Amino acid sequence: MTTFSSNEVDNWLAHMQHELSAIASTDGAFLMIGIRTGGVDVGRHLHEALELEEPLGELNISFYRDDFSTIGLHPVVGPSQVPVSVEGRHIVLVDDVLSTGRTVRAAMNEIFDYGRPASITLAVLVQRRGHELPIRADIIGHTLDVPDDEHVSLDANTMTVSVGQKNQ
Amino acid sequence: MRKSDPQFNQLNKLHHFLSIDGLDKTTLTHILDTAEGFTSVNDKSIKNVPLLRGKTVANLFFENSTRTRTAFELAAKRLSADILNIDLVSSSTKKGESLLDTLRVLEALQSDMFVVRHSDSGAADFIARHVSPAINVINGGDGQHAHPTQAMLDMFTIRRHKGSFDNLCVVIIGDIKHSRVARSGIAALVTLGVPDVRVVGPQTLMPADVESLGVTVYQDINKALAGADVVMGLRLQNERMTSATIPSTGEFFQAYGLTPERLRLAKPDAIVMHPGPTNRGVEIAASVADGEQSVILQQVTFGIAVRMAVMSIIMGHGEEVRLLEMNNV
Amino acid sequence: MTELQINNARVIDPLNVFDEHRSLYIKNGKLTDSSAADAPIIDATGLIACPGFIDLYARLREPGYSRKGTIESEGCAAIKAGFTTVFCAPDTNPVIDSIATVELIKQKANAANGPRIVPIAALTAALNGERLSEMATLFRAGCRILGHADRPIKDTGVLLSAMEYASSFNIPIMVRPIENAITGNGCAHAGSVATRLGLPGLTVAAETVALSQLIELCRCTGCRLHLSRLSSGRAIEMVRQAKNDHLPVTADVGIHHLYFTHEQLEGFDVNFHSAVPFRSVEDRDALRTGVRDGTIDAICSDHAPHDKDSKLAPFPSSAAGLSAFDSFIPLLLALPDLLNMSLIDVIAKITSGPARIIDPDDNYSLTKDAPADIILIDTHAQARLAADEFLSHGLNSPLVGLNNLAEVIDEDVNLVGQVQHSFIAGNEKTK
Repeated sequence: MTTFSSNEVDNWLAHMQHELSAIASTDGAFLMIGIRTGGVDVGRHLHEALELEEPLGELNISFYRDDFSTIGLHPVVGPSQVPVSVEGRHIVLVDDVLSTGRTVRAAMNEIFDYGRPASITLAVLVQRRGHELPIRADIIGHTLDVPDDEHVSLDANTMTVSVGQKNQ
Repeated sequence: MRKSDPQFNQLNKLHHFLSIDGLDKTTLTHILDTAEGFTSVNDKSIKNVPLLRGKTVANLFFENSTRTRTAFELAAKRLSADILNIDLVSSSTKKGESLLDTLRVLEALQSDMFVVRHSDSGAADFIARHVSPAINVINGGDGQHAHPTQAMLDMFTIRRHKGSFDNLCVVIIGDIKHSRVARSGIAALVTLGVPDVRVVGPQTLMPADVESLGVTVYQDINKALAGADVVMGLRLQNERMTSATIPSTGEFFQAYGLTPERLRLAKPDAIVMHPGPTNRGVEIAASVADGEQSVILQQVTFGIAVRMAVMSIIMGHGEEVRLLEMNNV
Repeated sequence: MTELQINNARVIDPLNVFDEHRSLYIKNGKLTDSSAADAPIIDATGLIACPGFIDLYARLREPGYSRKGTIESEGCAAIKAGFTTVFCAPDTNPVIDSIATVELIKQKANAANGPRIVPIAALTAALNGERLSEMATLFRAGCRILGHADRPIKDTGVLLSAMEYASSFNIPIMVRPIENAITGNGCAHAGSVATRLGLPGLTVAAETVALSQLIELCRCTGCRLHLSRLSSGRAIEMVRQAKNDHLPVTADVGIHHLYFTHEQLEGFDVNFHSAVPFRSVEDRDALRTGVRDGTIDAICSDHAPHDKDSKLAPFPSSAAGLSAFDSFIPLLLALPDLLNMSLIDVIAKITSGPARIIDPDDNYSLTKDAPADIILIDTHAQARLAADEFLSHGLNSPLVGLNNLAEVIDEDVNLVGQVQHSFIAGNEKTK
């Protein structure tokens, strides 16, 4: 089991913040939306560091997942909150770990049910291999090449990332 | 020799929603928590989620009810399901076709879920036991027995206003004897841990041994309302007059109607609930029904999220069941 | 077959207070005290021999409801239950209120060659509770008791007349006490289970109000009153009091009511939907006490076979009644332990007990010259309760496929017992 310390994670966040600032200066103010729960944790840090004015949106994608008929509803994480209209806006969608891409697809489907954004930029703390859909992040904190049977997870309390065996 | 509860499938997952009886506090809380997730669906410009896309929900209403049927229809549509409204009040059942035969025909229409309302207590249970195992059944009200989705939306409303169920005093007024709403509501309140559940009404409207449900019985409305946090009125049906259980609606209102004066006996922040439609001037004074403490309209709104939650929870294991069926053959 | 000898049986003869091993001799349809050397012998080692059972109340469904059963099929099942005489309920179609129907039933009974069938004639024409039936004529034609099935006699004046009239001819009447104005559409005992399940309830008052009326009418008419299929503890108290007052009152209880309570209704189990409701544990225990202390004179089957479809409906719409014959023997044989009674006293409740209800001077026993209605029971043989072993057309019994009652109630009751031979007037009846 490997753990990336909070210092290392801070470096990744700083890198993301730097790239996001660059976007803001070219395209204008974007709207940040985090995917519950890891994406919201990452989003909060970025939102604060970038001093964004508009509140961070939070998406509960449980109702947009594609595995409903096999494993039913996922544990409940509270209703989505998107306080600002997405219509015609540039969205930065934030998640903690991008692997298969299904979570991001669900999140995008949900965003489009709120309205029609001008664009969506995907920002993830960690991009790993194992993608099953043609979805790649535009802004990446860190790329990890770990085997498929290993799990990458963010601990929001300590802001550390650990890599370990998936418990079946 | 406990009889098997048909609400749970072989994997012990909730597969039908027939009654509050048989569900524990964890399950009820899970339904309430899930319903919270659905309350924001209205905030989007596309007011639905794709959870039940491609699924068909059939409303089998053997008893008239526009309100409940519409509520289920709306919940199903918000889940992107297709809806079949089947009016069985006037059709084949009157021609003498047995309930079982009617079910076979309906199964042939290949619905994924039945929402059932019937005048026989135990009808939802019967239907659940006799349809194909892949179909989920929701009890939309069976005779005097149960109306579990109503109970859940009532509990959701209470939790939204009161935070928790501990330390609450809940008073239910009216025709407990004939009310499936009361039975399911009492079961939910007791299971969720409400310590003081009171029922009040004339003895003619109390079922036998009602205390065995876990309630205290009152015949005096003033004593019953003292210190109540939640006051729930029940609809008084017209048949009660003809069946000689009460003399008149006027006398009922005199003795048990929820007036502003009586409401003052409850706690100042008590909420007033009613499953609807309300009989103003019979169970409840118009000013109370429309007053600040009334949450009656909220109950209707919450009913959508709660029904979406119930439908999603029970339908979420279709594939598992189908695989089981294939393996069992 | 004219002569027969039965050896090595444990002979239980309640009227003669006899419970010992001895031989029985049958000649020309009657019991006798010896037999010819070449008479066929049945070795009944390990078996009990007793007078054939008498069932005071069973529905044979013919004429009129042959989809549910026939005199032949139900007669066969009755033999399996040990009954050599069956009193059949009057609510056939047509109702047993005419000689024509009585004759029809007799003919069918003869053709079926099963148990003796005694029709219970209706007290009122068409069981409508309005006009008296031709009681004397029906009584003479062999209807040894008159009754009213589960139908109401709404007009108390008619009930009074019926009892006065019956009393004139010394005809006993059999009535199930039920006040229809109180029952409404009740389908289950009004108690905690029905309340929780939302099933319309049948209060005890529906039985006791009618019962007190019947007892008072018996007091003033002197009519011999047999109270059929009681269900509550309060009713037992009232009968006890009536007997203390020396009124000509007798009572019976259905065998299932000595076992089941309203707790069996959990899950809307239609197998326990009975017109005579299964009440509380206290009520059931009072019925048991009543059997033990003699307040209850007889146990009947209350046999109600139904076709499968009638029970395939939600509880309130399902047909009421249990098929009782095929499970009767194992339930009866478990009673001595359950009720803390001797076997001979239990057997009295379905032999001499019912006989004396019909005729207080009846000597229903294994005495010399009595008709040779005898059954031989193997108390250890496996009971035949599998669905394909049922002889009744009605499979509506909660005991189908059971080996022990613990699968249904909170009591460990092994279900055993089989009738190996059944003789009516010395003729062996096939099972």
